Amino acid sequence: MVSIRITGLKKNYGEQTALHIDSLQIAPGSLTGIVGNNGAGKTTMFRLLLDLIRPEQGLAEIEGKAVKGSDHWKTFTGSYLDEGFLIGFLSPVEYFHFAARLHGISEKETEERLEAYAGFLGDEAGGSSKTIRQLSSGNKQKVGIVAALMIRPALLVLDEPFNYLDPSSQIMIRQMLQQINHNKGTTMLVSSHNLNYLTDICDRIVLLEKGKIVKDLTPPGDDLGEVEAYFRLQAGKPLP
Amino acid sequence: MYLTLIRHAWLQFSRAHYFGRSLGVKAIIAFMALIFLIYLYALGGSLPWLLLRFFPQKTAVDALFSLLLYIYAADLLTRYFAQKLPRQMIRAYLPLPLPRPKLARFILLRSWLSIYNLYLFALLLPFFVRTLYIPVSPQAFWLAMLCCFLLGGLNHAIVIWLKSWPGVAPRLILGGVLILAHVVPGALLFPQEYMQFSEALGQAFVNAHPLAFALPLLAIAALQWLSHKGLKRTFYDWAAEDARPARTAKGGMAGLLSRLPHYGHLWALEWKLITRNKRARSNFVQFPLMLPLLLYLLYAADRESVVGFTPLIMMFLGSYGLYHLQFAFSWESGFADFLATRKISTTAMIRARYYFYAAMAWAQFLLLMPFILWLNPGIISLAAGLVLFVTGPVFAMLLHTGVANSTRIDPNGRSFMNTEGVSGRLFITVILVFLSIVPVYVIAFLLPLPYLYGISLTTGGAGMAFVLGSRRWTRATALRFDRNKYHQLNKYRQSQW
Repeated sequence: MVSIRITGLKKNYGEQTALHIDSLQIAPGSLTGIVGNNGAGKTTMFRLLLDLIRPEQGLAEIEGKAVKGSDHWKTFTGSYLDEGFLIGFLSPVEYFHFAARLHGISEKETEERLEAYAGFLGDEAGGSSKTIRQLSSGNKQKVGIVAALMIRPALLVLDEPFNYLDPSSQIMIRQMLQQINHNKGTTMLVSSHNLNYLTDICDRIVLLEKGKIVKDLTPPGDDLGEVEAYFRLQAGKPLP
Repeated sequence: MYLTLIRHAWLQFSRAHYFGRSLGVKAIIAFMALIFLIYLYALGGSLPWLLLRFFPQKTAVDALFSLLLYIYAADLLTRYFAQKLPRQMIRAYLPLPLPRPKLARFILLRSWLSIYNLYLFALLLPFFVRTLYIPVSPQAFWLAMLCCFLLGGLNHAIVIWLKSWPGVAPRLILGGVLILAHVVPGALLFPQEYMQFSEALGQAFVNAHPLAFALPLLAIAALQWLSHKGLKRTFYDWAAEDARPARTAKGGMAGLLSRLPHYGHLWALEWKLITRNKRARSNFVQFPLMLPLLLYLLYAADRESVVGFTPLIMMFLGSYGLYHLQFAFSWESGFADFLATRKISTTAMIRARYYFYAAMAWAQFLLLMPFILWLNPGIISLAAGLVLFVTGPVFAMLLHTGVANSTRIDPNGRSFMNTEGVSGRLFITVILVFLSIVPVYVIAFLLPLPYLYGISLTTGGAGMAFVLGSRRWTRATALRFDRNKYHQLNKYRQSQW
């Protein structure tokens, strides 16, 4: 099981501070939800964690080792943030096989693992001869999520996994995440705008605002109504 | 409506993320284009003198007319490969309540605003001023200019018609047939008669023969009408481009490559990239059409002309890789984050790419070798030396400098005239590629060997050194790439469309 530690992590875009986290520890095997409005710094945090952007200062560590300039975490980390993770000119099946091969999973094993996700992927994302760039946003999302899950990662990082998905798929992904976390002890970091889904499955909710952690709650001890109240407050008055 | 469409075209051009990049280099390119036009203009002014040297028994005008069809055949060839149909952004308009015929007309009208419809005027205008306007009559001058306009217009109409057809295969076949229709009689079978016909055609124009004007004019009108019809049909293809399943069947070359050990999966990925990426594929499938030209150059090259021919021969001997590696690290724009989060060694990726394109160049050379031995056996050592040179220092230079290329565009998504991907680094690299042969000439000149063998030896030697040292320089390139990792990823991210 994998732990994460973030210390004094700061990222600026020009004059603006996109993320500034003094300290955050993610326990091994936990399922942590990152919530916040647009621009709160969720994706920036994930990009820093996956060493896709360079911080101004601070440290993100996975399994006690800094991720910056290191590869050690890649072998056990599954991640999907956005379409930049997909190889548009491959078909989904080719993409899965390519990703699996990079993780040393045999073709036969890949096929077997993919069978488990056939229902979630559906016909278009699972078996068509279309390339990924020809898929709808929802199907692209499914492909990205399955590619992250099928390697059976010890750490899973998903940014807005419920986006673009139909209601059935949203329920399926919620169940899958819960099941994998429970059975395999996978450490998970998931961000979403859908507060209900996260509060249902997460054992910890971190609320970001303008790059800073403003609430860190652990249900059922903490009242998640606080988070809901926060968003209601942020919404302000309804538009006329 | 047309004005709105033109404005939108401008906005697409000026709001592209790379618009403001490398403006200095773009200014240099524009300046060089201007110099080129001035050079053409000066050449046109001195053309009468040059022609009279080669054709002393003819007048300068008749000599030029005898070459007119050759000039426009070369123009057709250039346009066939380089001139594009200005089709971008049209897809976004198709679902809107805009009449399709109007869109088709807009594309056709806009296509006339092309540098290919101008550059020959820069050459021929001063020539006809000196040979017709002053000594003969202004009327003869204007008729000659109209002749140039009609012949250029005919080429334009042919190319646009070909490019407005759906599908690549008919385009390739028809284009090939049209080019061969010039090349076979003109260069191979009846060059004398071809030149006589060309001269008669030019004279018919200057003598205001009605048919000389009517026939090309009718042909242009017919081709434009066909293009308009074709475009309306092609719109459906463009609209359904993303919905059409691509050929992603298992097996084939990609399957074969993926079964190879070590770099197999990366080679399979590279193969899929060049066969499925729109821009890469169109260049890849058109490349074989250039091979007859390569064979002709190798056939025609002798001791005297080899120095002038070498850069051109080198370009073709590098095969498709010489083009592809100019954008060495741009093709991954769409999946850079995937690569950065997987345990893939950058060295392995760069090596796989290098071996792939080097092998392609060598495979091409081996395929052409029997033809070269048949056409001009004396040139074989030079050709082998040049393949080594391209797959050695030239590929190394493209990969190494490609790391710092300041644009990471999606080579698929490009905007008209934005010279996308032409960063300062790439611009200089391409110039360096062609200049890299100069030191080889100098060393060859100093060697106590016949010049041709001297060049073969120096190109071969330099090439061999880089091929044998490829593990070393690929590692250095990878290190350089990794050192700039965040900068690279940022560039990729900025280039998302």
